Amino acid sequence: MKTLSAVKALLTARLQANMKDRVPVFVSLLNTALLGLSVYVVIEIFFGNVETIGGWNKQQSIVLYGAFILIRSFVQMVVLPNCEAASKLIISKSIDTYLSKPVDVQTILAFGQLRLWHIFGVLLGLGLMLGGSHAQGQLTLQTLGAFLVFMVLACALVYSVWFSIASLAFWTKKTGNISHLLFMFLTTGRFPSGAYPEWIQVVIMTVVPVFFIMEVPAQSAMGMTTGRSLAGAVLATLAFLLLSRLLWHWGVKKYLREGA
Amino acid sequence: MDYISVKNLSKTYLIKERSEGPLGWLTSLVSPKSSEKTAVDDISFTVKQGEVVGFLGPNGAGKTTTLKILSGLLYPTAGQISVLGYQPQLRSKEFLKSISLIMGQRQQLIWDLPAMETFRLNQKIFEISDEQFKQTYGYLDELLKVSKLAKAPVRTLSLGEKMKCELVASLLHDPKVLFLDEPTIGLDVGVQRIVRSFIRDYGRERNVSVLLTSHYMQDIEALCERVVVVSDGKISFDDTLESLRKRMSDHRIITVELSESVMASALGRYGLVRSADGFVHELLVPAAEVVGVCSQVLAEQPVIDISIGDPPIEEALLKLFMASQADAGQKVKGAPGEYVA
Repeated sequence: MKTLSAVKALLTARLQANMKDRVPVFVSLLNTALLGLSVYVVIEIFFGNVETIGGWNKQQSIVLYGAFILIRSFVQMVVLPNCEAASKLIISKSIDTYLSKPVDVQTILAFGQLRLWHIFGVLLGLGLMLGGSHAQGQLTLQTLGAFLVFMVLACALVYSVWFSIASLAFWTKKTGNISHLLFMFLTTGRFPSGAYPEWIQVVIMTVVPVFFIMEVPAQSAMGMTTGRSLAGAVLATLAFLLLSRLLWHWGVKKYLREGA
Repeated sequence: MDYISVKNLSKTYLIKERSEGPLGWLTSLVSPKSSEKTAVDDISFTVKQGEVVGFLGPNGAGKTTTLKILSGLLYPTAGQISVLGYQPQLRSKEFLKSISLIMGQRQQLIWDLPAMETFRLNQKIFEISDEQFKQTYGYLDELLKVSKLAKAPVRTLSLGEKMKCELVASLLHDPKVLFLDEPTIGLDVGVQRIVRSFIRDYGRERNVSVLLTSHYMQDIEALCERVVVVSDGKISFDDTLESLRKRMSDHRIITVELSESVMASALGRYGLVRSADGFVHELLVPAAEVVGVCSQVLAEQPVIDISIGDPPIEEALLKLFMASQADAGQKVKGAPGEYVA
């Protein structure tokens, strides 16, 4: 409760500070407009020659692209700034100032930063997903509810994956490279997993679960999810949440034992 | 009542050894080697309620390691420690709420937000009621004058202003024990003085125990009645500052002001000339010869003024560090405070 109250205070302060920063807002608006244009171009080019990609038609692919933009913008808005800050604090040993407080440090660090201007990307992604769903006649209360559940799971999953990487800073200083690689890996989520060779499909379902982060939420917006995909998404999220918690816990223990 | 109790505390780090070159890197990857470094070596001391103790030593002596162990940021390798009756290594919430660690080189203030946001965050973290927050903040503001500073983003503040805000952020929860790790490092003389007098007043009024490390002797002289000196992880002295000064200084400084400019070499026969500018000279003289030298100088030189003083505490400490390094391994005689050079 105390930690949540601290997170709330921190987020409110961040929100106010973000509101004062106008330049990134305009840059982000421009970026989002260009991103929207690129979606149109990419989809038109691909579907100018084929009917489906990996079993997904044009409308479905637009929904998937929307999921990709939404998640990528969420990562840029909340996940990356917090995970980068956490890694820096660990490497510089400034984490001492947090560890000397009676609070869940991981939670505080997970929500201490915010780049609100990426909200335009989140809105564009959301618009593409819901618009695509509507165009397919699938936008019902039921699909909307399922979509929300899968989206929350996807956000928790992507956050856990990233925080696990950030926690590796207790062992190595090179977490920035891994984080960059992971960000690049997210781009595989623009297209359905069926479009990739089998070995890549295995990787994006297990090692870096892009499948559950983007494809399953996109399926949910189109009423295509099954109990199996729900179970898979819940399990993957829980597994990575647990991994991120354990890595943080072990890292802190190592830090307290070795001092670095 | 002892607020801090340290008994036979030791801390050993494992240092990974890496050989040079690609082959060395490969070798250390396949068969990693490490060596042990003892940062704190079997030290014992206590700090009473309301006592301000200076924790001194050269770089790498184990001061910060000890402070981090006492504040729960490092596990000890051996020994018993107790702070306010808590075992710091267990890091209980009650313990963390009762102490504060202030590090001159690491700050908790959120860089791009006004300092007030860090104060409010700490209010939530330490579960401080609005009333208590108002009261404590008002008290700290009265001493440090931070109300205007607290509204500006931290990144726009000077180092001294940041330190004032840092002190407020660290003390809002009214800790009973303060660990200060070089709180005046890098600050200009004016701010150093403000920080010093704040720590002195705060310590007295709130009756908190303070363990302070600093390389600035002015901090120690202004704040601490007692000093613990560590060198190579061991305690080489634990007694009052006055005792340190007396034990280590078997010399006095005679400052002579003359009505005519005199060459330094002309005064060399009275003692070691520490400084000379023609009119004012400082002579280092063995304590036993002070009276004789003074009479001689007064009789032979055109003296306007003459004064006798102790050498600066830095010199006493330097002698102590050098003696303990030369004596490495040989502990102090008997109980702390009975250092024998």
